Amino acid sequence: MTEKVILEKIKNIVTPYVQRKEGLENFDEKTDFLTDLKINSANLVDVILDVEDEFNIEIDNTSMEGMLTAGDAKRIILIKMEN
Amino acid sequence: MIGNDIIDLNIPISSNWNSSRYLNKLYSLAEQAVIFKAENPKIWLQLCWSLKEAAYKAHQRRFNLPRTYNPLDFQCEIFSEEKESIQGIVRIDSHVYFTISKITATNIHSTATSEKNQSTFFKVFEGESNLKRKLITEYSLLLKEHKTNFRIQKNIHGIPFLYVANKKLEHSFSLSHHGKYSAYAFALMKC
Repeated sequence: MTEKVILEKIKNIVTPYVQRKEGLENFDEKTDFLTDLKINSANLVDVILDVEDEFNIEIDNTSMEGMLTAGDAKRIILIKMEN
Repeated sequence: MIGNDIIDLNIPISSNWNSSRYLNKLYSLAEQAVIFKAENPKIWLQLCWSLKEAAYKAHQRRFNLPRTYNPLDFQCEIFSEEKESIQGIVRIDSHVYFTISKITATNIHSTATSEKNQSTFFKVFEGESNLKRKLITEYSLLLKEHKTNFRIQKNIHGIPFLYVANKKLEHSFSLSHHGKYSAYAFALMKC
């Protein structure tokens, strides 16, 4: 799976929770889930559960702490898929 | 230091809320036990979340911390169940934050402070509102400075600070938005 495909999948996962849709227009690694997309902090865990299901990985609490941008999510997914 | 959080109860909570995968990422087993013992677990779940959020904001401001998503590090305990004024505490590492919450038919509001008897003031607004402007109006009266001299600017970690005539003030306040509600809280003395 290429990094571009992973980012595209992350974009699809977060879309239902996005409250600021224009934030999706320039979706890239720097896109911040909370500040750019205005995803509610209580919904960030739903994003994390969907990421776990989509990529068949388990995101531990330490990884979850740093999952604030699309780039953070991509890096965590790549690491977990290697293991 | 102060933090506050507003939750719009009209916004449905996650469809995962009852699954252990969801719960274990946000709430300790002790918190889950309290939530499911409550008369209305869905409300208690959101109350507990608002305590964690309010304490997170107070803690982040107190130590100027980078943003992080670590809800399990914040452990909440609720003492009184009087809906008008629910008292609780939130622990993180060796620190304790004191919380007061109010549940109405439509929203939950919580304030967390690092000092037990900190005098605070909060307001909840419904509908579209310019929360920063409203807070500036309050500070303008409190500090006897003209409104136009104030501005609110976030620092590198996203923590908002008040400036008057380009001088950064140490006043502790907190802003929160959710759905059609917004709220601010501030400490009535510098802290």
